Amino acid sequence: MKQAIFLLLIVTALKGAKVNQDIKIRKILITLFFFLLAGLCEIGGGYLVWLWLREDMSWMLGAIGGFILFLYGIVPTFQPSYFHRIYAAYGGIFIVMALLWSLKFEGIVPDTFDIIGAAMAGVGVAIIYYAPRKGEEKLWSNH
Amino acid sequence: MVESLALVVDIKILIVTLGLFFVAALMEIGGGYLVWQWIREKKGILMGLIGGIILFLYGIIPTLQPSHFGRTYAAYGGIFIISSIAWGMIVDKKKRDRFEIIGSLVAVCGAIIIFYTPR
Repeated sequence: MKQAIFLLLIVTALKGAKVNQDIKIRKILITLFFFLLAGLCEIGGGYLVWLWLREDMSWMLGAIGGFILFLYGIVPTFQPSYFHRIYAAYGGIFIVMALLWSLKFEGIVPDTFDIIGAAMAGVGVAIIYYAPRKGEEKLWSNH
Repeated sequence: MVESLALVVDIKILIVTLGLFFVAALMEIGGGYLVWQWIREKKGILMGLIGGIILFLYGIIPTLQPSHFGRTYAAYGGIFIISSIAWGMIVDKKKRDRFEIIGSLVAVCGAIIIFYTPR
């Protein structure tokens, strides 16, 4: 039942977005993909550096990690927006990803407050990054 | 007495942790900014390389932290958001708009709920 309501909400949102030309669903998916890719590069690169320094594994892992962190810096340049806005929105994505990471790799199940907080972070990202601004339609159509 | 001593130690850890987080955010955003200058503003590859090195150094900072990932990192997300907006205002001289401020406040409140709710 819960899942059905959730699906219904998503479908309604998608339909609404199709009608509204300002928000293009495709652009949202692409930008979300870049946010997630950045998060994976950051966490993955940081993890390899961690293995090198804290788990005394080969320095090669640290070097590869450093290179992945460099790639992480490149990913946001594909985003069709301003630097500070992209980074602020990414911070919200990062909050959600941190909780998912600790669920998957540390087995820590998020409690009610974690979920409320993560949901607020998601809403924050939506407002920061996806609120349609007057005069910025071009920013989104160029890419 | 013992309890208040424990509290002092806790606050010390908190300050060290927060300090490290702010340094980390500064390096992450700064390194990313230099890479951005290289690719988006066409300021030369040297910028990008320096940015890459700073990002590498950034990757070392979490290894100094007492704990790893989870709720602590959610708090870092909140600090990161504030730092990004501050970076845009101070370094990039970009005007922040209403949506950025409201959205950031909402997201930071979320981070505070995750980190500070007593369990």
